[in-house]
Amino acid sequence: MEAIWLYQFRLIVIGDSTVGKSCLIRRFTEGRFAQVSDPTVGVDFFSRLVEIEPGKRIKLQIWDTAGQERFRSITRAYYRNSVGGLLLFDITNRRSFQNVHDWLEEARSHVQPHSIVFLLVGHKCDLEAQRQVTRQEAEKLAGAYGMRYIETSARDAINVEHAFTELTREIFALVRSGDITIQEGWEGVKSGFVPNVVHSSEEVTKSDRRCLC
Amino acid sequence: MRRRSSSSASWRNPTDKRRSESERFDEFGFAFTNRREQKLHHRCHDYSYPQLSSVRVKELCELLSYWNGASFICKSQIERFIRMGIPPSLRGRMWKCLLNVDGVRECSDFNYQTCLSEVRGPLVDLGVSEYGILSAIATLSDTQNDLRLNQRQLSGSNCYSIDDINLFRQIALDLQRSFPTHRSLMGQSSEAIEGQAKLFRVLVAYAKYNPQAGYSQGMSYIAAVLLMQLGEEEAFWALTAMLDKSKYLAELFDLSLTKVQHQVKVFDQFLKHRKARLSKHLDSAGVLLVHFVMPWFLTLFTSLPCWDSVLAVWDLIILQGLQAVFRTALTIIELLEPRLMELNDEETMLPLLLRVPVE
Repeated sequence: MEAIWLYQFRLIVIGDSTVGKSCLIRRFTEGRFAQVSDPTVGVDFFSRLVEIEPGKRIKLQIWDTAGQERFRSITRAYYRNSVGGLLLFDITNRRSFQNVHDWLEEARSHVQPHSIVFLLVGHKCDLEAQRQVTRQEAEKLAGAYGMRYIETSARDAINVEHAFTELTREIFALVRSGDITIQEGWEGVKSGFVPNVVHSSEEVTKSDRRCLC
Repeated sequence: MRRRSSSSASWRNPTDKRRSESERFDEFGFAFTNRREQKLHHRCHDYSYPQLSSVRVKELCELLSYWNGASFICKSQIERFIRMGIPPSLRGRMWKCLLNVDGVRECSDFNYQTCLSEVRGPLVDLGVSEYGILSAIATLSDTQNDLRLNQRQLSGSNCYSIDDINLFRQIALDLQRSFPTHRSLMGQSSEAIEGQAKLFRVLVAYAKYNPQAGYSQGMSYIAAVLLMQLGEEEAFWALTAMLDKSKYLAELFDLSLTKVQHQVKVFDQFLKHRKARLSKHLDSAGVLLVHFVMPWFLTLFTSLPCWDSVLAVWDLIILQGLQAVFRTALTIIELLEPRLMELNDEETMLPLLLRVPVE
């Protein structure tokens, strides 16, 4: 049985090696925390539904990527077909924060002609004692790039749901306002099935508006 | 095949992850974890596979003692044994023979011990030791930060380079996560500390030995499997044989991963030829081979759930080289074919291929 969803968004999760990309995704999609997880060799793939408003479900397809530099030749192929991204750094590792700029550059140069809605995520916020990046400076950096900033912990399940839902809402709003449109041959956003009827993208948008009135 | 697991271990508190009396390991040294965790680490199993009779074991011993890598007869005989199943106690010896570990070492002007003592200098200067991987990671991260923050040039008195720091750190990071439930690498026991230190040294030495390939994620798995069968220096030479010889994986590892991507394309053609219908089916669902074949290749199938099959696959790869890698990938896809043909989208097909189920 196909679950019923309005749209499908494709997200990509990037950031330095061992900032906790896979753990965050697994917490979100499987609801558990793995004490240990294998390094991602290439890309991994997960999916889950989120409900952004009662009855409005969005399917997320999440691409997990390898952090090691040499895998970029492979992971960069995934930017083009992503509508959103979580850019992770580890709040206990300053360098991973300093590399945020490089990651954005990397994404920006490979996403053309599309663009990606990014959310900056300070991960491992349960390790407050080892913090090397303050919330203020992370917020400042996020602001400078026009992103939101959220701190998460996969271990203690802090803000994990929130981070993914916020990003989904943000993209949903852009789709609804027409700033992001569904395009043939682009996997970033796809329209889903509304009960009994298969709508084209425009019709889905219209029916949305009706619901909202 | 999966059976009961030790339920006493509490996984809620990370400090409890130390080795406790109650911890049990399967035949190949993978820890039994509690049921909740098993979906994540579906590693541990109770195995039962046909055992070689004592007569056969004796025959195999004899074959190995007069082993001649150039002899066709030796090779076809060993292939027969591999098909019957190699007893775990003889596997290390067989790999050593097939990879010609002693020959490779004798022919090389590289010296493992000398290399390690050269690496010792930078490690000491940086204040890190392979016997404390966690603190090594912290120290190396801090050093990286300092260098970047102060835009400091490395002074001539230091005998390490930025590349060294990056190399040590990346390897240290991956040690924590390569077979994290295997007894030789798990937690903080003395066995694990020693195991991680060995793995660190082998990988660093390999990156020094072959700077064109350096260290790539995936290698930690290959080296770890070799260390489970061989002594440290033997494992190092076995790794060089596997990664450098064109018969084996020389065409898989390079700095930019172009080679492995090329091999995936070759495999794609191969699959189109051998399994036209399935290949088309994958294509139409948008499933790209590179997604799952590349990790299979770069970690040499160590992500397969049952360790007896991983080792059997390795026996064949060590005998036949890259062609066995291709054949294994084809076999896995063939086994999954009936299930794949029933599925129609990337979303359900990819997880099956990325995390091959036990059955």
